[in-house]
Amino acid sequence: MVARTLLVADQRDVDLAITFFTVLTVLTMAATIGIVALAALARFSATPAARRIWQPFRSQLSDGGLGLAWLVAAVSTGGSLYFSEVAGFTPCRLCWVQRACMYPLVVVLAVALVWRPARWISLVMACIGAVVASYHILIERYPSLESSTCDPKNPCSLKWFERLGFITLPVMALSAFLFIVTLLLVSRPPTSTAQERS
Amino acid sequence: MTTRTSPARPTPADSKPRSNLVLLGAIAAVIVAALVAFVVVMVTGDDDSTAMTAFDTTTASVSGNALQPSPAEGTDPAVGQTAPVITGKGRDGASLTAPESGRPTVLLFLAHWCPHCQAEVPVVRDWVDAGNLPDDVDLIGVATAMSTDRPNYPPSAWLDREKWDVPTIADATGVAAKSYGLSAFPFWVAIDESGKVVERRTGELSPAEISSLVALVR
Repeated sequence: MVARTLLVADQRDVDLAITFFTVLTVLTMAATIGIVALAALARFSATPAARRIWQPFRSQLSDGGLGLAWLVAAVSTGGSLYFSEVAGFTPCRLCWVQRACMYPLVVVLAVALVWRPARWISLVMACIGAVVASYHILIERYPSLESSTCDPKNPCSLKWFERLGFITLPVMALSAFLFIVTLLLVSRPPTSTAQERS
Repeated sequence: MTTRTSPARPTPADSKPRSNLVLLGAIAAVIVAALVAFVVVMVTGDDDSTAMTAFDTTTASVSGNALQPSPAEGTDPAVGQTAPVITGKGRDGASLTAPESGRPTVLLFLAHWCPHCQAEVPVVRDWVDAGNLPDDVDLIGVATAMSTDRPNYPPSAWLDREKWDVPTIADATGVAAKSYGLSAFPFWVAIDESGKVVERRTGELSPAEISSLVALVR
């Protein structure tokens, strides 16, 4: 069986890329959980302290969040292409569905920077990607959920690598999709900016 | 009557520094990730503790007519056909032939990267260790579809870790698997003492299912 790659990657280079994207995955997970937790505290906490922290933070994300979401989609697309075309990790059927959600996001999010309705298209695409990535993670953890056999060519249950005991390719994809969803929701311009400032 | 308050748009002077702050933070995170990855890979070095053996590159040879691919459902056209004879090397380097003339045989084709094969190997090992394999039946593994690019390579290290004592033929290029019409992993073939295929099955089998498959060839 010969790997279909554009370039011949050294194993150390592949390890470097996997570790790099593992660190990014941990950072995006931490950022997503942090933003959601802060927003929830600000929304439901009785004390005004959480709100005082959240409002300026959200204000900053409102301005830069969309650009950051585009950056996440671009880096994820680059990583996906590296893993398939350089490292030789052949994408499975579910990988292709996630790619179909992530790759166009680079364009749609760029459009959303100047045309606001594209933001909602991005949100739908990212949500679909997150659902598919979640299902892919389940298949990886419990291969029998999909089938009791392996496709001889490229089963979806195949883990090309696993870092920190849980970070695999679909986990990376899920963290990116969820971060994009969070940023899209948070970067929505406040409807009562004038009131908040008064 | 309601009055609509139009949102006050941030002035360019307000928004530009804030946007830059978020994006600069993101770019800083990417740089930190790259640095951490570089340091981790440099410190850990080449962790290639699983050395390849001759088993992981050995190709089997096959004689006899190839069987048709195993159908997903319906009647199996290979049943009653003469099974091809596989000759190759075992993990200890000794020659192995399957099926041997006059011996009922069950073949189990395994791929090192297949999660179902990884789950099935300990089940079969425990089934054999419990003394369920009759003396007059051969159970032969065929390690096939080997790929250095795929996880859990090399297969010899995997089988060592699993304490797999079932005689296993190396089929690095998959020629034996192809001759048996393999359609999915794990792939089981039951062959009677006259060398005819009795049944082909795919997927993980429970200990009871393994026993009933073995009973078919006796």
